[in-house]
Parts: sequence; structure tokens; C-alpha cells
Amino acid sequence: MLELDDSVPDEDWVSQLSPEEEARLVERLKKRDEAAFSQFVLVYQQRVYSLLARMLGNREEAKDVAQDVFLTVFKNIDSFRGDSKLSTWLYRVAVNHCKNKIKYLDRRNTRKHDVIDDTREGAVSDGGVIGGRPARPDEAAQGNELEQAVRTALASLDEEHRQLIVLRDLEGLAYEEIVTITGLPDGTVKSRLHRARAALKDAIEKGVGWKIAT
Amino acid sequence: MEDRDVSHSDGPADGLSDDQVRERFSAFHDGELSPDEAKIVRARLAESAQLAAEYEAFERVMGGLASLASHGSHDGPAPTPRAPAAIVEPPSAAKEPAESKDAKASSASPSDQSGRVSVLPEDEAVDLLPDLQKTIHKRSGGKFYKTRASRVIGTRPFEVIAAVTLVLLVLVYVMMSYVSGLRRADAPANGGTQTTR
Repeated sequence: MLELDDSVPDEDWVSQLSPEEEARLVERLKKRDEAAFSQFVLVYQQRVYSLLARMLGNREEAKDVAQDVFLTVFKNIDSFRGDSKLSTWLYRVAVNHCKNKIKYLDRRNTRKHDVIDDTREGAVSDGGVIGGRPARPDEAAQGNELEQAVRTALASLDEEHRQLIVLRDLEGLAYEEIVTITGLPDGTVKSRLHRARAALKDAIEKGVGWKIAT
Repeated sequence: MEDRDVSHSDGPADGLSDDQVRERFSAFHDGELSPDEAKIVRARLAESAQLAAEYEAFERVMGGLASLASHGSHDGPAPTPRAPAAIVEPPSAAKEPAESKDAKASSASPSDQSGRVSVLPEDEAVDLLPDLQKTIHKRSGGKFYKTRASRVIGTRPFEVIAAVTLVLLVLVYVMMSYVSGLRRADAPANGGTQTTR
């Protein structure tokens, strides 16, 4: 039996649902079950916000769009036919909203990125731990520099390239999920992802003026 | 540019040019090449210092992405903790007490409960639920995420509430009529007594 009210759910709550349980959850969402919807939001709000923040590069816009995404889910859950996982469908809704928002902001020429220098002491990957040992100061600085360079370069990529890198390399989605979300053929996703990664590498080298040397 | 599936070679894999090997960096990194093709790429990387250096640079970029991904992983700052009972609590839940706001502020602070340093803007903990509940309540004309009061009233049919109100009004009217009738009956009786005296 699918329990919805016993505890604050975590991400695994939905990702570990069996197809039958997910179908029951969808049923409840289609009946506009408030408790089910609330918990669905609690489980996915961080992921959706994170995806949108990375794609839009602006927190406030990301929050607004995330609100719209969940409102769309509440309103249009009937259009979910179960051809894909619920989470994949949610990502697709989020990506579509994001594209529309980018078009809207571009038309108004009001698009802006949050430029945040997150370089902090100990902020290198995994809290300053490299390969299971504490990072040396030079490694930590290098890690911070690379991370900041990647972030800046990512923001400079065109929408299509950034979308694929966010979905694949930051959100860790499988190719099949990306195919479903973007509606692109499998081969196109792979080739565009390759070009997106190459563009990211170029952007790091050119934009930041930092040659990725070995 | 033409979109081609770079995970598969167009011809014999052992005839890959340098550019063809470069085109396969991405698929090689993802483990998407066939075993034969991966073997060829590996061999080319071993024999060409230039290609090996380029692939290493590519891998560093992927490492930077992985680092960003690990910071933005979703096992970090959980959504603002919320008691299950409050989940279905309606728009009024949006009116959070000061201490709740403090809790939210602390959850978005650089160091979260797990001790992980939050370095990304997208790492910021968000709590969309109160505003969502409020918006849904408003847009549905009060149908969803009702307030406690409207939920109690909403469980009774309007006709019943109207009937009970009418009955109460009639009862009040009857009681008032009865009391004023008693007063009227008392007044002439007292007056009559005084006259006979």
C-alpha cells in the first residue's frame, strides 16, 4: 500500500516506486489528491529548481518557472499517459517551460545570469577531498578554478548545448530519458552532446583565457 | 552542422583519422562505443601523444562537470523540513512563524546539516509548496487546499446550513413573541388591579 502521509518523503520515494505504485500515485494525482501532490512537490522541487537554475542561470527566474512547472503538473496530469516514467515526464514539462521562458526573456532582451563567485575555501569537489585524501592547497585552488571556469563557460553556451550538458552531465540522466525529454533522435542527442562538450571545452579555454593543459 | 551518431563508425574502425578519434571522445567517455571501436580508440590514444593530451584535457572538463554535479546533487540540502500534517495544510500554512523562516534561512546557509559546503546557486534549498498551495487554492476558486474553516463549512451542504439558520431565526422570533406576549398580558392585569383599588 502506498503510504503518503507517514513521513516527509525523500527522492527515493518516487524513484523506487514499482510501476504499479507509480500508476497508483498517478491515479491519485489525477484525482487531484492534495496530499499526494504535496508530497510529489516536496520530493521533486529541489531537482526541478536545480535543473532550471542551471539552464536559466538565474535563481529567481528558476523559482518562478519551477512554480509554473508544478502548476502545469497539477492541471495537466491527465495528459500523462504513462509512456515514460513520471519523473521523465516532469523533466519534459520543466524543459519545455524553460525553453519558453528563455524565448520570452530573449524577446524582451531582459535575460541575465546570476554571476556568483562561489570560490570559497574548501569548496573544491567533495569538500576538498580528492581521491579519498584531503586536497592539497594547490589542488584545491585548481579544482575551484576549474569548477568556476566550467560554470562560467556553461552559462555562455547556447541553449541547446547547455540543455544537453545539464541533462546528461549534471543531472545524470540516461540517453533514453534525454531522448524522451527533448524529442530528439538518439543519434542526434549523442552527436549534439559531443559538440556541446567540445563547445564547453572551447569556451573554457577562450572565455576564461585558461588553457586546459595536462 | 549535420547530426550524426558518433557512437558508431561509418567504415572500418581501424581506419579512424585523428578527427574521427576526436569525434568519438564523448562516446568513449560515456562507454557508448562498441567494444571493437573502444579498443581502436584506446590504441590510438596510446600511440598518439597529441590525441592523448587532447583526451586528457577533455576528461578534465568532464571532471569539472562531475564536480559541479556532485555539488548540485540532490541528496544535500533537503527541502525545508515540514511536518506531514502541514503538507495538506492550506494557504494558511504559508503564513509561517518567524522561527520557521529562521529555519529556512539557516537551511540555505553555506553549510548544511550534512556539513557539505553549499557552493552553487542551484544548491539553494527551495520551498515551493506554500506558494503553490496558495496559487492552486486561488485559481481553483477555493476548491483545493482549503483553509481549516472553509473545510469544516465545506463539508456541510449549503442547503442544510441555510435550513438550520432559518430554523434558528424562527425559534428566536417565536421566543421573542412569547416574551413580549407575556409582558402585554402582565401590563393590563397590573393596570386593572390598580383601577379597582
